[in-house]
Formats: sequence, structure tokens, C-alpha cells
Amino acid sequence: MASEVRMTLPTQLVLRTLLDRPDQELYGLELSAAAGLASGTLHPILARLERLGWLRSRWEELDPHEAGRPRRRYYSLTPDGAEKARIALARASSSVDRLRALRPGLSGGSA
Amino acid sequence: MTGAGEDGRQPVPAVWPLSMGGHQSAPKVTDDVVVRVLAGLRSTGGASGMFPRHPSSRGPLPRRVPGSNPMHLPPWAGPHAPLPVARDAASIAQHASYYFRGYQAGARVAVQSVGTPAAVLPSPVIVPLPESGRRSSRVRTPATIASAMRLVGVVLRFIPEVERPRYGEEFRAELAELRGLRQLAYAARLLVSAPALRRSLREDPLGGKGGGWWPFAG
Repeated sequence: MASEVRMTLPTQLVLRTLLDRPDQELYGLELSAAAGLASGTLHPILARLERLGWLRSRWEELDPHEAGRPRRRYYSLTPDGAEKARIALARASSSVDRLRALRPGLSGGSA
Repeated sequence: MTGAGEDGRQPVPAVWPLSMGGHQSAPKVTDDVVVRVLAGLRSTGGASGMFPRHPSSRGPLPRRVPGSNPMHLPPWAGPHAPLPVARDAASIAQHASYYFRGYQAGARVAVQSVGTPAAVLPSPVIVPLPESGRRSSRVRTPATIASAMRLVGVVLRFIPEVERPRYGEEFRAELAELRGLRQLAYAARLLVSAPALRRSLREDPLGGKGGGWWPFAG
């Protein structure tokens, strides 16, 4: 269905990382390190989530010439995005649980 | 060379010899422009100031003394006379800092050409020299920065033009936090995922028209 979002594992990792830090804004490199993802994998996911309205981003308030480095782009979940992310993650984890129930050896043994 | 004239001046030759690569030869008649120029010079004679009235090899060459200017300046030179050349290491080191300022200015120009006026490139890495008799530090711009920046430039060409300034600055900010080969690895990963980023920015995020396989599928 076009209106539903099927979550890949990297997307779930990004959303879980952001949900674990509701009051914290993270920039790309920080987020990829926290989620355990490669930097290249992260930006397409962030772009999609931002276009969906689940994420918002803003520039770091900093004068690049004074700081001697470019401004970072900080990402955080919107309130609506956080709610949708929780629902989507719960649905994704229940799907994994159903899969584990069908094939117990698939995920590396019984938990 | 011809001898001096009656008034002691060097006579002006009928045809000025051409010097090409140390070999002197008469000008070709077919080269009309050269002939005309030489004719004009000949008509002005020694008064034009382009040719010395007296041969410079008459006496011994002035002895060069470091720090002093052996050139005899005309009185009208006045305050415009060049100052004696001073070669002290402290002065040279003081003015060499402009070289590195030039690097940063050039880096800003490079960023502006991509389209992000407020962004700057990562500062040069200060690499201390290994322990030796001369203890100093120097600023070095490793080739990895330049290579990584080139890769980021390629990535930016993949994505829609309107998004390039934003992602250009974002990628450079993350690149500035890495060092050495990590910068190159970061840029290479960005390049690998550039088509996915392009799709994410151009297509329906819910996977409408054939582009929902990454990172979502409808």
C-alpha cells in the first residue's frame, strides 16, 4: 500500500536512535555513529523522513568564519513524526516476532 | 659591433640585429611588421632611451654587496627609489603567513563556486615535523582533503540543484570533523549512496512512482 511505510532495518535504527533521545538534536555524523550506520546510508533515510514530515532539521547557530568550520545540520523528530515512528516501529517489531515464531532458527536461536 | 662615432656615441646600425635564442640574425624581409618597427626605432635613434648610449661593458661591473643597492639611481628617482633588499629569516617568515591565508581565501572561493557562500572548507591540518635538529611546525593540506572534496563535489552533482547548497555545507561540516583517510572513506560512502539520496530527494517518500524500494517500499 502506498500510504503505509515499510521500514528497513537502517530506517528502524535511525528512528529508534532519535526516539531514545527525544530532547536531543543530532547531526549526521553523530546520528550515524549512534545508530551504527555508515554515513552514506544515513542521508537518504533522513531525506525521506524529512520529506514525510517525521523529521525536522535546522542549521547550527554558528558563524562558520569565526568557528573555522561549516555549520552542522541538526535533526530531530517532530511530535507527529515521533508518534508515527513509534507506531511504525511497533508494527515492524511485531512483524519480526511473527517471522521468528514461524522460523525460530532465522534470527539465530530462541530468545 | 661597429666602433664609436665621431662624437663618441655608439652609431645606430642600419638594420638592428634580431636576437632569437642567443643567435643573432638579420630580420626577414618578408616580416613587414618587424621591419616597420625596426625602422621606427632607427628613426628615433639613441634618443628614445630604449638603447644605451654607452656600452655597459666599458668598465668593470659594480661589485654586488648584500644588503646594499649597487645601482646608481638618477636624482629624479627621489622617494621612489627601491629600498635595499633585506633577507632576514624573521621578516620572510612573517610575510609567508599570507600564503596560508591565501589557501583559506581560495577555499572560500571554491565553496562559493559550488553555491554555499557561508561555508568554509576544513582548515589545514597542522602537522608537526618529526623530531630533528630543527623543531618547528608547518601547515600541510593533505591530498586526502582535496580528494574527499572532489568526491563530495561529484555527489552534489547527483542531487537536485536546489538541494546542493544545503547538502554541500552539511557534507563539508561532517568532513571537517574527520581526519586523514576517514575523510576519504566518508566521501566514498557518500558517493556510493548518491543515487539513493537523489531518489529520496526527487521521488515520493511513500514510494509512489517506482522508487519505493529504498529506504521504504510501498
